[in-house]
Formats: sequence, structure tokens, C-alpha cells
Amino acid sequence: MAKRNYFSLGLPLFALLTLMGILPILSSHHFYLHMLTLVYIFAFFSQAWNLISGFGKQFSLGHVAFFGLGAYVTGILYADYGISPWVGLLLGGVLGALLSLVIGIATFRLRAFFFTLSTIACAEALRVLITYWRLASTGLGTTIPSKPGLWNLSFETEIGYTYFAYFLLVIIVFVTARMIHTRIGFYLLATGGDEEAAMSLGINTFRIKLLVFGISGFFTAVGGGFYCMYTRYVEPSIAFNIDFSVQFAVFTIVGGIGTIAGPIIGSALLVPLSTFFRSWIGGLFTPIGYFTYGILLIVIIMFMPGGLMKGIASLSKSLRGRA
Amino acid sequence: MERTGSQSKSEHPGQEDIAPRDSVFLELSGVSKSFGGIHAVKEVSLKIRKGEIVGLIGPNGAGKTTLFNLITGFLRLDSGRVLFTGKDISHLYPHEISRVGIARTFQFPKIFNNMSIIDNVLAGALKNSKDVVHCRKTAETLLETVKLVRYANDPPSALTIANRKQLEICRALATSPQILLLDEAISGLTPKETSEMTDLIMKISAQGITLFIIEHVMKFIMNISQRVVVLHHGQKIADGSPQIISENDDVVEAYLGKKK
Repeated sequence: MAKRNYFSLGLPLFALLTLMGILPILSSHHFYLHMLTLVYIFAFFSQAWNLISGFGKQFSLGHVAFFGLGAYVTGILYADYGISPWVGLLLGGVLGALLSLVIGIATFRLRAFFFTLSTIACAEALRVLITYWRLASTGLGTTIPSKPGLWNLSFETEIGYTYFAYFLLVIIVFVTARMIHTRIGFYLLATGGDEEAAMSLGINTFRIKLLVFGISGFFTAVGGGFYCMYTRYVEPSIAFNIDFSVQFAVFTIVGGIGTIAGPIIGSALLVPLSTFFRSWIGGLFTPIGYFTYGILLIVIIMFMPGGLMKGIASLSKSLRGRA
Repeated sequence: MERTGSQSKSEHPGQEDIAPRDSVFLELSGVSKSFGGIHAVKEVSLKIRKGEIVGLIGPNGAGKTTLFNLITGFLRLDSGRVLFTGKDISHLYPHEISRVGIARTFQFPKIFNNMSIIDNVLAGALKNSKDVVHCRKTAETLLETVKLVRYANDPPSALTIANRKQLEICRALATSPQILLLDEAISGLTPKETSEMTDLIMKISAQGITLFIIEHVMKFIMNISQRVVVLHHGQKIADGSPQIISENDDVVEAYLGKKK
């Protein structure tokens, strides 16, 4: 069903995005805005992951490679060379796209398993590489100076960062929505649905996968650059931590993999939840917090394997009395 | 090689054809493929003329699906050539084969379960047009011919096996092929569904599309084909009209106990 109104978004999604645009001005409490910023930026990252791994069904567990690449390009160019983070964001994005091309060309003609493995390996390789490069020169962590100004991507007030994250999220949602309703989107879904059948319809699945993976890598790297400017600190063990790769996947899966709203819903639920479980519950016994969070995720997936979006859809169907 | 004087069932004189009627359309020449030490397909040569309905039969493991995979680029030939309208297509990728005008279905229907029924067909129509709205109309028309259009926006999960086969055929037809390769056209279908499928195949042929059909069920193939090619242990053992084939000793022997 082509939804030609609301710029290719459905009404619910458009309403959700509008609501999210209003939320930041409701309070200036630091923790509130910090949570919103994290929800928006993780929704952004998860959506980028969702493009190739959800719609395209090429399961990546190494997306942190792009994240860290973008973070480092942006962070180092600004902290060490004073180059504007906007340039860093763009350059990081381009390098992220190139990296995804390299991985894709090497693995997209092989069985899917090799792609997943390669993404993990690539992230790890980058982590080790950057660790030893920085260790040898300036020490592991790099603090990003904060000189407020739009050109420096530094904001005096927290809300600037929140709206920047929101801005990124809106962009990727629109890109996704547009794509899904055009030929590339159908070809991507077909490739994910059954690659051989897709090929038999004249679809160059290799090219489609490269294209979408490139877009995913680009956006993830751009987001990584923003994240670095937001947290004002970049370090290999953080910037290339597999934790991020897993979170992008988990948030999307819980929200509803292969749907446009899924990553948003998943992040909206799990960013606050994971923060809660990781830092509040347990106190001294933080392992309990992680453990409980893990159990909760398992329970959600067991009862709603299609994620929250599918769960909501089937719930509304049964409420309306349809089989 | 039997000349059968096959008449194209096309009712459209003056139709713009790539190849004139009755000329050789798809040609295999010495096609071979081995897996390890096993000759799956051995020196198979055959010619299919434009507009023909040709059946491909043989016992299980005879190499029929392997042959289809070789023609459509899913497997690489060890030796031999595949020619389509005179052009060598032996080394093309599957998506290039499709673009040349060869469509296929699969032994077990490969439906896009992550897309609605109409979007499945739409995906095929997009080969010839970027316009999604236009392709949707094409898809609707195709679904109407198999009476599935009322399920257009539903997921394919609830479809019967007969419907899945029909959907796959619609999707293949949406690419506007010159020739359609059907793998296991009626396996798993009830007699009524088989009859519907036969009607569908005749309709497709009437539009000028050449058909190459794999099927185990002898009665169906003999009924629908103008000519039958028989494979056994990867080799072609017979090629001729259904009448000639059914009287061929080698064929009967290969199929001992397998006739339906």
C-alpha cells in the first residue's frame, strides 16, 4: 500500500515523529533531555541497522565499526586539528560507506554467515588498530574540547544536542520511508525475502545489498561522529565496543525488525529501561541489573517474536474482531 | 531429433517477435555438470522452438532441476553452451538471464514472505518499469487471472500450495518473459487444482510464451506437451512427441513402477 500522504509516512508514524519533536521543550531537566537524546540517537542507529539487517535480512553484528569510525574521524579531526565536526561527520560518513563496500564486496556473494562474521571481525580489527595507533601516539582516550557554536557542533544548552539527534532521526526515517515505497525498497525486501527468487526476477541482489549497506554504514558513521561530540570523549574500548552493535540489533528486534517504527519503539522502550536496570537496580550488585534486563529481553522476544510492532498489530486485529 | 511441426499457439499474427515462429529459441549444446564424481548432467543437447510447450521428464535424480539451474545461471556449466535466440547465455548471472527474457519457477515455491501477495508480483513487474503505481496495476491484472486479487494485501503465509504455485507463476509472468521454465508444475496439487493449472498453462502459451515444464506426473506431461524430453542419470535418452515417448522402451524401463 503506497502511502502518498504525510511524505510517505503513515499517519501514526508522522504523529509519533511530531510528538517526538515537541518532547524536548517540555522540560529542561538535564537527565530528561539526556534520555531523550539517547532515545533519538539510538533510534537513528537502530534504523540504520534495520535498513540492511531488517529489511535486507543481511544480519550485521559489527555496526559499531561504522560508529567508531565516524566517532574517531570526527573527534580526532576536531580535537587534534581543529577541523569542523561538520566536515568530520561528512568525511566519517563517506569512509563508513567505503568500509561497508569493502566488507560487502568481499562477502555478499558468499553465504550470509560469512557476512555476519566479517562484520564482527571488522569491528574488532578496527578496535585493535585504533588502540595501538592511539597508544603509540597520544594515549588512549581523547577529550573533545567544548567551544559552543553551531560550526563546532557544540551547544551551550543540552537541548541543542537533543534536537540534533532528533534531526538525524527524522532524516533517516524519511529516507527509509521513501526507499521502501520505490523500486529499490521492493528489490531490497525481495532480496531479503528470498535471494534466489529475487535474482530470477532480474534483481541484481549483489548491487542492492552493497547500496543499502553503504547507506547504512554512512548514516551510522555520521551518528558516531555526533555521539562523540555529544559525550565529548572518544576511546577505542568505548567507540568500538560490541555492546553498541548488540544494542542496535536488540532495540530493533524488540521494537519490530523490518518495520519503520520498530527501531523507534524499541529504543523508546529499551534506552530508559536498560539505563534503569544497569544503574539503579542492584546498586552494589550491578550484575543483577544486567541479569534482570537480559531476562526481560528474553521474555519479550518469547511472547512477541515479531517485536512490539507485530504484537501491537495482532492485538489491534483481535480487538477489531478479525481472524 | 524429432521434428514435430509444432504450431505456435499464438493468435497474434504480425506480433513483434525477437525470433520468427518455429525458429530455434532456446538451445542446449553438450551441456554437462558434475558434482564431485557424480555426473548430474551429461552432454545434454536439445532445441526448443518459439511457442512450443516442451515437457522435461525423468526419474528422481535424473538431473532435471539441475538442468534448469544451468540454463538460468544458478549453476555454472562445466562444459557445453546454452544459446537463447542465437546468443550465448552460458555465463550469465541469474538476474541477467531474467533480463534476457527467461523466467522460471522453483521446485518448492520461493515466495517473499516478508511482502504482501500483490507486492510479490509487483517486484517482478518492476523489471520493466520503475513506476510502482503502474507495476501495481500489472500485478493486479495478473492476480485476477488466478483469482487471487482479493487477497492482494494479505501476507502470503496462509496460501495453499496451489496458490503459492500460482503466485510464483504470476510473479514470473510479471517480468514479461519470452520463455517460462516451470519446475514441478503440479506436484502436491489435487486433481481439480491440476486442471486449473493446466488451463493456466494453456492460457500462457496462447499469449505466445514458450514453455519448458518439469513434472513427474506422466499423464499431465503427455497431455500438455507438444514434445517431451526424457532425462535419466543426467543424460537425454529420448526426445519426441508424447506418443513416441510413451512407446520408447528406454523410457518405460527408466520409469518402471513410476507411471501414474
